[in-house]
Parts: sequence; C-alpha cells; structure tokens
Amino acid sequence: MKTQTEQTETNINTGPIIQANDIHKTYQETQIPVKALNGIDLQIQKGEFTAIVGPSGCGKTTLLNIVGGLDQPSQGNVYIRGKDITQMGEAELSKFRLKKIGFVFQAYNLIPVLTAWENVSFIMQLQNQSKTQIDDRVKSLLEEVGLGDKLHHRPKQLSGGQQQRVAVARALASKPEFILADEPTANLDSVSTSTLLDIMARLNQEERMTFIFSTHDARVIERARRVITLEDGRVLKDELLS
Amino acid sequence: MLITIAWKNIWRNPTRSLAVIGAVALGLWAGSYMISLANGMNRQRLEEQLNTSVGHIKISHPKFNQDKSTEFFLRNPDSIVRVVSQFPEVKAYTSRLNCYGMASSAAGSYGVDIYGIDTAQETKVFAICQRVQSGMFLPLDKRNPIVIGARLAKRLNLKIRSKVVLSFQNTAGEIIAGAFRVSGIYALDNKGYEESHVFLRKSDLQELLGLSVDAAHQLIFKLNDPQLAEGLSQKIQGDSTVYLSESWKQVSPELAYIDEIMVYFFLIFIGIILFALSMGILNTMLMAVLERTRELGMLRAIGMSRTRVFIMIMWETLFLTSTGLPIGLGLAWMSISISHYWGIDLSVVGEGFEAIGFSSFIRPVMAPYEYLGITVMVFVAAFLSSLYPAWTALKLRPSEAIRKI
Repeated sequence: MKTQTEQTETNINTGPIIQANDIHKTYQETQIPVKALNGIDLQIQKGEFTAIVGPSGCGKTTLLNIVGGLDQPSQGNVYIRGKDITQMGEAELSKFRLKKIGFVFQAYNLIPVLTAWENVSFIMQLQNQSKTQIDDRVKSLLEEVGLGDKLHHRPKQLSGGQQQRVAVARALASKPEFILADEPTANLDSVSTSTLLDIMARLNQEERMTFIFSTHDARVIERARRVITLEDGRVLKDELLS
Repeated sequence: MLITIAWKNIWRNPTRSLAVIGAVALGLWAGSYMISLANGMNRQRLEEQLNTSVGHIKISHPKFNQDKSTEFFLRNPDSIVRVVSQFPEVKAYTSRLNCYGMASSAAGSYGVDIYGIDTAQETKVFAICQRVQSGMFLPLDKRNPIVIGARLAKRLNLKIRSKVVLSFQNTAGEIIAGAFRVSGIYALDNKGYEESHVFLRKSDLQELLGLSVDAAHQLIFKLNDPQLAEGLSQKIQGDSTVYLSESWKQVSPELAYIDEIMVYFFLIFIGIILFALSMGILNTMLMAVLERTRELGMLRAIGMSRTRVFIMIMWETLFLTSTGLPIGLGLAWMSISISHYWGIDLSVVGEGFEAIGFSSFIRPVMAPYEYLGITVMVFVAAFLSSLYPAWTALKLRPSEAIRKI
C-alpha cells in the first residue's frame, strides 16, 4: 500500500500537467472593471494538443497568460504538476517559467541582434547549462524544425515562418513541461502555417510534448485533438476530437 | 551571454550610439583639456612663487611674523641650520635679513619689503637671481648695490645705476636711511611682488640694522619635494619655542588654498560635463528600452530574472559610456602632451594674467590620478544614468509588454 507522500508524487507524475480551478480575472485599469475570465476550470494532461478558441475578447490570451504565470488571477488557483503557481513570488515564478514552460508568441519575438543559434541557446544559457549540452541540443532542435542550414542567420534574414520555427525551437530548448502558443500562425501564410503545424504535431506525437494554442485559425483548430471554446470568460464547449 | 547581447544591442542604432559615444569623447576631451590648462597655470604659479619668493620651509623668530620688527631675529641661526640640514629631504638653505621700509627716488616713494641676502646661498634656494633682465645681481665689487623689480623701477623712474634711498627702522627703533645704486632689475610673472620687493647684500643691511654678522631674520630651506614641507616643518618645530618653523602652506596659505580649490574645481567642472552627458545617455538608454518593450517582455516571459534584465541594461549603458571614455581621454592625453611640450603663449592677454600672478605662457598638465579620477567619475555617471532606464525595464509587465507594438 502506498503512503500519502508516494500517492501525491504519483499524482504529480501521472495527474494533469495543468489544473486550473475557478479562475476569475477582472481588470481594474479603468473606472469600470472588465471581467475577462469568469470561473474557468481546466485540466490539461501530458501530450495534449489543445486549441483554445473563441471570439476576440473572450479571454483566450488572459487564460494563457495566467496558466503561463505571466499574470495573476483575481480568484482561483493554477497548479502546474501539483504546484500552485498563483502563490509564487515574482522571482520564483520567473525561475519556474524558465524551467517548466515554453512560449511561442504571435510576433515571434526573437532577439534581432542574435542569430537563430544564439536565440535558441540563450534560454539554455539562462538555465546555466554547459556549453556541450547547449551545442548539441541547439543544433538538433534547429535541425528538427528544418533550419539546420540557417543556424547563423539573423531574424531579419529569415521569413516569418522560419522565425516562428526558431521560436518553437527556443520554446523547446529549456525542455519544458508544455508549450503555450498564443496565436502562433496569425502572421503566417498557409505554407508556413502548414509546415509549423506539421513540426508541432510531430513533436507532440513523437516526444509527447504538450501544446496549448490560443487561436482563431481554422487550420490550427483542424489539427487540434482537443478544442476548448471560450465565450465571455467562460468555457462554452470542451470537445475531444479524433 | 548578457555581455554579448548588451554589446550587440548598443549597435542596433549605430548613428544614435555613435552620437552618444562622440559626445562622451568630446566632452571628456574638452573637460580634461580645460582642467589641464587650469592645472598648468596653477602649478606654474605655485612653482614660480616657491622658487622666487616663498621657499619650502621658513624658520624665523616666533614674534617676527607679528609686526616684522627687526629686533626679533634668530640669534643662533648656524646651530638651527646644522640640525635641519641633517634631514635628507633638505636640499639647500639661505639666511635672510628682512624689514619693511620706504624706497625713494626723485620721482617718488613707495613702501617696500627689503631683503638682505647672501648671493651664494640665495641662488641655491631662489631663482630670483636668474630673473634679472638688466644689470647684475648684487655684484660684490660695487658699493651698496640694490636689485629692484621692473614694476618698481617704472613706478620710481629708476634705471641701472640710478640712486635710490631706503629708509627703515633699525633694531634700536631709530629711523635710518641708506643710499643704494640699482645694480639689477628683475622681472617676474607676479607683478605685485616685483613692485614691492628689493634685495640688498646681507652685509649692507646688517650694518644698517645694527645686527651681528651671524644674525638672520629668516632661514629659508629648499626641499627635494615641496609636498614634504608640512611634515618636515612639524618635525623641525618639535617643542622649540626659540624659533617658529612654517611650511610654504603656512607662509603663503593662498597658494595652498588654490591647490585645494583646484581639486573642487576639477570635481565640479567634470561633474557638470558628466551631468550633461548623463542626461544624454539616460535619454538614449530610455529610448532603447522603450523601443524594445516587446523584446524585454519576451525575455521576462521566458524566465529571465529582473536582476539579469537590470544587469543587461547596466552593461549596455556601461558600453555606451565607456567606449567614449578611452577615445576622449586618449585625445586629451595627446593634446595635453603636445601643448605641454610646445606650451601655449597667451602673451596677448599676458598683462591680465601677470597682474594676478600667473604666467602668460602655459604648459597644460594633468596627473595620472586625475585621469583615473575622471574614469571613476565616468563609471559612476554611467551607473547612475542606467538606473532609470533599467527601472523602466524592470517595471514592465511581461503579459502586456509582449503585445506592445
């Protein structure tokens, strides 16, 4: 029979990666408070390929920000592998994001003065990884996203799709628990979108990397295996697709 | 990695960065050169005054300074000289008789400080003998020679061989007068000194004052380094009440004050330049931070700590400032060295300079510690001007910053 501690550890390893309970978020920046999230419960398991969809202003980005530890909820808790990130201080949260969460942004947000190789290795250097580890992993990651021949290109020398692939490699570099991608295909043409989605799907299937997208893009929704629809800060639908 | 990124970041906008680097270099060059000019003027003035009138250490009767009464003379100057000469710092000495008096000629009268000197000793301590522009410095074969300054000669309409009458009080308190012939006329940068100081042979003055041959009102010592004067003067004084030992800083406090004032002048002058430069650096760095809001938001989002963001901004500011530093100081060093070698002749406005005791021929100079001082101040300014941009970067909320257009 398992002890309580062993049971908790088993739950942490086998339970959901993300568990969000009764998340509320109200913005008080003007005199009229704006309710962005209104009681969201969410569980994400390892290896999911989930799209969060809904009309503009429904709370997709706010939810992603809260799950990613970039913003604090007004009410509710978010557990990542059993750890309540809403209780973490700024410094702890920063370390947590560095180690556990990968981010892909709509506008790629690469550092323009660094090459593709440097953009990816940078995050590993922040994690104080050794040079050998960095060299091996960065090369294989960039090859994995199809940019093995563009290691020393700067963002300006890459197309939008290629830049977003560098961003995916950067998100993977820290070996995160999951990747949050906020409208990752919004600025891409259909060919680049398709290539990017293929790469993400392959990583999801082969390495069981968990992806959570916020998107309007039907092409992303088509590829997702779970679609969570938000409306007015609530979960309207949560569908598992085949 | 932070250092690499910081260095690359300052070259994102090369024109802007080069403008700041250029401003830092030019500001430091101009500031350093101005300081070296002031230093040169001040140091030349100090050296001139020490070498022509003040000396390094003066020993006199404790009461002589109060009213310069000739009765307060040193009775045993030789024994003092013997003791003081044993200090290795001491290079030479001269003994002087001194009194106030009136110099009169057919053209008028003027109050003067009269010195009776031993020419052989005097030349080892003071350079006044070398500043004789016409005539000779107290020749031994002439009767009652006197050396006067060019300004006094002009005032009393005196020339070489002109007769001048000196009247003063002897040790018995009687007013006596002596007739002298001008044997030499000296010229110094300090026109005030020129007008009021005359030199006689010590033996001539001693006779008129009614003093013994070995009496002296002042013993002036020259040291290997004038900066040692203060400490040595205290040692010489010890517990003695027979004489009063004073360093040049005590004899002529205004010279010491100018030295101290120069330090403040240096700090204020460079401080003002650096303040102006800091505002430019701060503005540039603030623009650089605000232009990169989204990128900084991304860095914070992916887990770069506030401390690392702060350090990165600090490095950028430091690079921006410190790139201009060696250029500015290098240019300053070169131009100071060249103009020190050739000198700067300001004789067009020389009269004004000389009226306040400065030479119109300036050799700019700047000490290594002053270059070091500027370097330290530049780094402090860089640190201070990076604080606001760094703080601006730190207060960005990643969730908002990553969306900034």
